Amino acid sequence: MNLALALSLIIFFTVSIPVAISIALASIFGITFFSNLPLLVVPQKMFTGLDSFPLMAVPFFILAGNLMTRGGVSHRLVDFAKSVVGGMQGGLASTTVIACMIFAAISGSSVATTFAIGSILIPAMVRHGYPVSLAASIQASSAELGVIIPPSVPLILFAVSTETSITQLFLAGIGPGFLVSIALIVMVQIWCRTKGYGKDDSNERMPLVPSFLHAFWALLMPAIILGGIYGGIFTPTEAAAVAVFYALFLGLFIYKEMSFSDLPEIFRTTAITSGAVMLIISAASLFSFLVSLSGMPNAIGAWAQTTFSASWSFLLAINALLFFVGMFVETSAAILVLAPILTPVAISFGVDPVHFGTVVVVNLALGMFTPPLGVNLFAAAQVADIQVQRMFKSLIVPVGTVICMLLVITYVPQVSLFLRDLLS
Amino acid sequence: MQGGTLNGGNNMSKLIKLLDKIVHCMYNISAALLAVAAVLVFYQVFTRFILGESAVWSEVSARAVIIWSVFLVLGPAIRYNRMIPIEAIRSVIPSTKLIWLIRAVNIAIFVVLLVLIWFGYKMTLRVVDQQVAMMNISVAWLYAALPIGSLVAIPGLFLANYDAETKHRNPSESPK
Repeated sequence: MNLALALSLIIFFTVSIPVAISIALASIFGITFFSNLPLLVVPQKMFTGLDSFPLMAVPFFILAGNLMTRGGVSHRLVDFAKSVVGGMQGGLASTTVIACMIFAAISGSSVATTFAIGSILIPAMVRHGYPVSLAASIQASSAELGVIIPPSVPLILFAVSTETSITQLFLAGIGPGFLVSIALIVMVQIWCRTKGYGKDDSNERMPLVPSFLHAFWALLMPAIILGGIYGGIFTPTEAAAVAVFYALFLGLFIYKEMSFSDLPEIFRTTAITSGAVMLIISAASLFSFLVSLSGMPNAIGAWAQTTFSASWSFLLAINALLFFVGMFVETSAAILVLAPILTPVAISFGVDPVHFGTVVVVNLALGMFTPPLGVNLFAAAQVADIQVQRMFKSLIVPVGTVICMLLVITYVPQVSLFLRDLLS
Repeated sequence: MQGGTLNGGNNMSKLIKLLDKIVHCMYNISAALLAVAAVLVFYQVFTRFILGESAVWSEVSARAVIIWSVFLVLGPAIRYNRMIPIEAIRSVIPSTKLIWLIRAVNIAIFVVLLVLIWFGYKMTLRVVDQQVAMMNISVAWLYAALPIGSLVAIPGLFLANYDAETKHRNPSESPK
């Protein structure tokens, strides 16, 4: 059944059957022809996969991100980030990284981050003389911070599919998030100084204190979400619901950039975006039930134990596999299908599952802006109004930078685990 | 798909309008349920802080509401091509052959919907006597989201296919 499941899934993905339907169909195919199970397990497992309270953080964080974007938060965060790092040469490119980093602490999605920040900063960079392809590439690569820095939808999915603690994974995302942010800032600084871009970026910049006050209520949101979770005040799902109401309150009553008549459309957009992800989760729980029944994780584990002599070579091979998969397959599907198979194997090599979670998510986040297929690429190209192919050349340096950081995150577990160990 | 006579064409457009209404209605219900779920979880936090103990029913009912929201949005997601396909192949095959690929994909979706409708229905009947923990209702009310959501997704699939067929026949006109 293992081979039938894997092959049918690859074929269905390739012929462009939607991800959730592909996973469900491969499972139906496996059950019908390669098992004695009744098809009743299809609705049963698809139901139990969704019937989970921690999972409900996914639609709520997507909703909070959409409300924040519409409610006037993004341009305040951009103004604040600009006042912090915008004064130097290449300040706008650095502002993009910092604004994405802060927005990432509000939103759980990198596409939302691309639209929210990119729609302001890509045109601004182009006005300041950056080539449009470069501006779009910087935005697409910075937006990956959206899924590394908590709250993060992929981290929640990894936690739910491997029964790892969401709280610990969120803590473990902070170190890698900062590391990748710093690396991207160094990268854009070197780039701008060697190529001479962004010499007049410090124009039209607000002073630090007014911009901080201007963005104060928005900047309070990460403190409420993360402080609430780690202070033991509420669970991640409850934090997400609180974030929704805080975002509503800010947009409607404090910033007043959103009206009640905007709400139906925001809720509809969120229902369809999060619904598509939740349907993948539902189908993937059926698929991983079949995979564990067929003994695939044990078979792969036994094979890996004989093939790789140590955890370093195993992790290198896993990174190569995930990088390849991430270039083509949508992140949620990749996590939900692969994490339950690979995590037990990683544990058998002595890798901490929380550390492994950050490696998987940082690697797949890299796939979001690695050609040929990456959601951030399409989002940034759409905002910049250029063809995706025009960005390819200028993506080499950001992709290379993040690969270097991924290796650091892989081989220095403390980058991910120091905060967890410190606080536990 | 289009009727050969004027009357047939009229009937077809009436049918399309009706199906479109069903898809829109599900879209709105799903969005409303998402809002209800957010309110329920927020209420849970509120009761814990203000009243000192959380309401036992809010978490369970929020889960039920989200499950219904997810399966009711299946139709709109198919209709508006928001189901996240990996579309690389669509850019490499000739546009005249694309319709065959879309038809094959839609048949695959139809098969999955049929399995969910029939076996979801049987599963729902099987769990009628089981109660939801902390609430005095049958689990069948939650399971029913799968067959019902899949059934009302068929109009969305039909319209997605109808749009693709129309676009194939009249490449210059983009469908609504």
